[in-house]
Amino acid sequence: MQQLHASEHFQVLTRAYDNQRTAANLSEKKLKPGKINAVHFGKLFMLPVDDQIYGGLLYAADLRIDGHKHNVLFVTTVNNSVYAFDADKLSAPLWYRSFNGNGRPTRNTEVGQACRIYRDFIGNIGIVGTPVIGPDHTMYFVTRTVEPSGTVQRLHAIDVTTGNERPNSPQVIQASVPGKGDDSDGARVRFNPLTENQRPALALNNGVVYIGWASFCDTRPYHGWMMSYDAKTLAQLGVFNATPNGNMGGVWMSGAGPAFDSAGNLYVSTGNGTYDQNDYGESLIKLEAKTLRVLDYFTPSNFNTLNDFDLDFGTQGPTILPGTNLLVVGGKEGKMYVLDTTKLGGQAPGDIQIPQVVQAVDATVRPTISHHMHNAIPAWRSSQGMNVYVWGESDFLRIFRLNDSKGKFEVPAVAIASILPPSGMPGGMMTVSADGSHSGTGILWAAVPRAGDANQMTVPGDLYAFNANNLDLLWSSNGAGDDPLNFAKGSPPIVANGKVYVASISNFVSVYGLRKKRSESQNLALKAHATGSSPCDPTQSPEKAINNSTEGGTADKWCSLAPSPFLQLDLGRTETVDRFVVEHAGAGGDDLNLNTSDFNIQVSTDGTNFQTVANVTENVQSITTHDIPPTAARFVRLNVLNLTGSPQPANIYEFQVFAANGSNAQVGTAKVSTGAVQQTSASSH
Amino acid sequence: MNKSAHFFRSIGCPGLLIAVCLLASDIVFAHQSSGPTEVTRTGRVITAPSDVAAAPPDAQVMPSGLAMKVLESGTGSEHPVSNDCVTVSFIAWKMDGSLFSTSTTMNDADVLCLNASIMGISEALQQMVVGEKRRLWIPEDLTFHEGHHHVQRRPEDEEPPHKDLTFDLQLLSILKAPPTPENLTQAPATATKTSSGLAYVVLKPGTGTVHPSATSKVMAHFTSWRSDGRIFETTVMTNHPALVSVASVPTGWREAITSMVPGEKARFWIPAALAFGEKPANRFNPPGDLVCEIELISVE
Repeated sequence: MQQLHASEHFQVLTRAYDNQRTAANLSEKKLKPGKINAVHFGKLFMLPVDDQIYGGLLYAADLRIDGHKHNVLFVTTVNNSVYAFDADKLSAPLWYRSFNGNGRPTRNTEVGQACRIYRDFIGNIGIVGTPVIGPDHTMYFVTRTVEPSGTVQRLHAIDVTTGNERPNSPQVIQASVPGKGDDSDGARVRFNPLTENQRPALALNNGVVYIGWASFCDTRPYHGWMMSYDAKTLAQLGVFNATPNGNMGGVWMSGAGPAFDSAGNLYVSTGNGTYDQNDYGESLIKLEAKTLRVLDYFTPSNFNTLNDFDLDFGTQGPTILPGTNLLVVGGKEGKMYVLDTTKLGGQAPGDIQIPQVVQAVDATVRPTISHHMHNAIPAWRSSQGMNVYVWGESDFLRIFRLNDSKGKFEVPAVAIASILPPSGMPGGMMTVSADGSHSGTGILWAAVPRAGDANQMTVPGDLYAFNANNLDLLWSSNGAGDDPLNFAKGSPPIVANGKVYVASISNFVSVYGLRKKRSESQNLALKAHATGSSPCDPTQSPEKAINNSTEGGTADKWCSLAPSPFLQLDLGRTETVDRFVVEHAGAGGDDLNLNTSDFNIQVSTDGTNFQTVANVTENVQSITTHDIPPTAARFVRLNVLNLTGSPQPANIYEFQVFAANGSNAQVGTAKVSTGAVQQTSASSH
Repeated sequence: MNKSAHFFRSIGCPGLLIAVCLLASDIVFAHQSSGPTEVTRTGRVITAPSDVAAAPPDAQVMPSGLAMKVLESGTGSEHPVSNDCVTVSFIAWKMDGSLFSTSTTMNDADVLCLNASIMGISEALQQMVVGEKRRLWIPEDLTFHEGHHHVQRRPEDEEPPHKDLTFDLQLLSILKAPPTPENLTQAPATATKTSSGLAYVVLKPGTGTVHPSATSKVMAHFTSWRSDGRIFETTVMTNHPALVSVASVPTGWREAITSMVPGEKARFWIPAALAFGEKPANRFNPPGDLVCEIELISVE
């Protein structure tokens, strides 16, 4: 296994912590189940960034930057931005870089035509795949920019202590393979930077960087691609196309990364696509290190059905179970396939050639809707045995335990959690923290949607902590001030050295940890005085929109049926503000159809002369983030507009205001300042 | 690697002996109902039946166009109904005899819920008993009919490749759904009606005295039906109650739960306006009026 740069502290230098993709941090000494409760644990602070976060978070310990050692959190956004934050405190970024160059990120309206209006992403689509950090303090990631010549994808290698490009960086992504499939000139298929979505996490093993691609909403022509590059020279070493004589077969894995065996060979899964003599749609493929030659593969015997029903096999990345030759991976059928990495078995009727298939997601709970598995399956060898954790769509979180002597999982699940998430995608984004296999140390952390379906929409999220041995619920983020905002389905939580980092597509990373008292929020509204249009009910007064809580039901919001309702905050003094977050009806559990459609935000220094700084129409999201240029404001007003002639009621659970100063970790000109609402979405392809 | 060669290697056939193995191997599918069956890699190769292309004269032809014939009698006596789920094994061929799809041989897999399965399969299963094996000739309208394409199908997706299919289908077990209540479309006269439009009947009185509040978390079993009788969600089949935050459920459930006491089981008729509405923002939630049975286990 790759030895990444040395530190005595735990680091997150690749997606899911290691190249087996266990998603298990076995070095966690501070966070123990007994301490994870509402009294001792919660949100500490939030780190603002300039756009949505789809890439996974990374973390380097004891990194020397500007002469000082820091534990550093690395964040990428779809605006092709990279941030390095001190991971332990609220402060301005240690460094920030935009990698747009002379271009700009792709916008969702420019891709995904197969969905007519593509909302798997909404807004920018720049850096999507999780970066990877090498032993020499180099971070690798892929940007996507629209330039006069067209869409360009580039592999970057940067110094994590400065953000500066390494020698030979960047490299434009280009490739071709022999083939007569989609996008072929009759002899070769070329990489298409417009239709290819760099979705899976990058990987690094033995000095080689690996990158994969899939599609935007199955918009053809596209293929699944994997490429390998020399980590030093950035020279391309190998190219693999999953369907050179066919189509599709994307390597998307919901953002997970390839897994590696001890020989350095890698494993990836593919989605819907051609399966025949030399095409590997709907398959788990073993590729030779560097050259990416196919060494072995598994294709489920019902691949035709999977293709016909859009039941991608490859919605998860593989997880190799430590200490075994077994690999687990799941797909849209909610089945967990258990494969032998030394003999994947190809394709055979009845799947008789593989160790086991388990219907891991219970289809009976919501029997008429989908039961997909996304991201990857965390694996932790507890004192009771090897646990894997499955939280598929529309089902409960479950533990399946490996019977080591049989090489198979015990069925049914050995533990089932009590939380049933809302109907829809994508299920849980999970990670485990534990002190080795020691009993009483394991915690399963999971982010899931709080309301709504995260496919083709943006929805609020929740963070849960469960005892990793029995799935007893320890803690949830529905306490006051602990809201992780919009659910980031591309970016699972990470745990490092006593803290839990949760990305959002509300342009924040929330940092959770042990606390002696409730942390002071960065939200200026919490110290404001609220007035506004008359409430629907006396309990639904304007103050309820600034009480730091969305969890109290209908009495926890400001509601007004006035013809043009308004909510006004007096911050008490003039502040320079640059961000607002509005939590609409759906954030508190109301019908999502009640989310505020048309509204604006105004600011004033005197309470009389107001300037409109954000104007929003046809919003459908439950939580919206609004960035503006730094602007002086003592009074902030949210006006619900009547643009259609039929008044909208106001249902505002929270109205948050953030200052553009050091305490808000602002990055000045690096920040998006369009005044446009950041209506963001989640993705399935 | 040549994939055909790979398959035969995977079942223990050395490359040079593939032709021999093709004749001699014996794949057995683990679908016997008398208990787990050890699957051997020396099973027979699946060959299409001689009547794969068309149903024989002695096949039963249903008004829908589905044709079927019993291959093996079953041991059970009960037929699954539309809300039930089942475990099955199957082999499917195209009419030209080429293999289309097979179930996994693992007994832990291939759970089918009838309301979400291919229409022809659902219709056939409702005629079958556990252990029974039938051959089905399913016309394309009952296979990949648009209405039964996956729920994520997008308006501009390509049409699924319609095709007639022939299945050998065996019913392994039935996972029983809670029985569908009568009066799904209208609460009975004996129901208590509230000012909001909610109606309810207490099925089992509670043992507790404390009602949950609007901010409580409760442990509960529940099943919800659409007006047409289809189950939307149930914790009963998996026999695992859920922890519910009362504040986060739709208005009708909120009123229902806060009216109950621990130990109580009641059936609620919930108008669309108190459920997910007529056009739910979440496409996975059902539109229209719903009926919900709730058993309140505890208030956390």
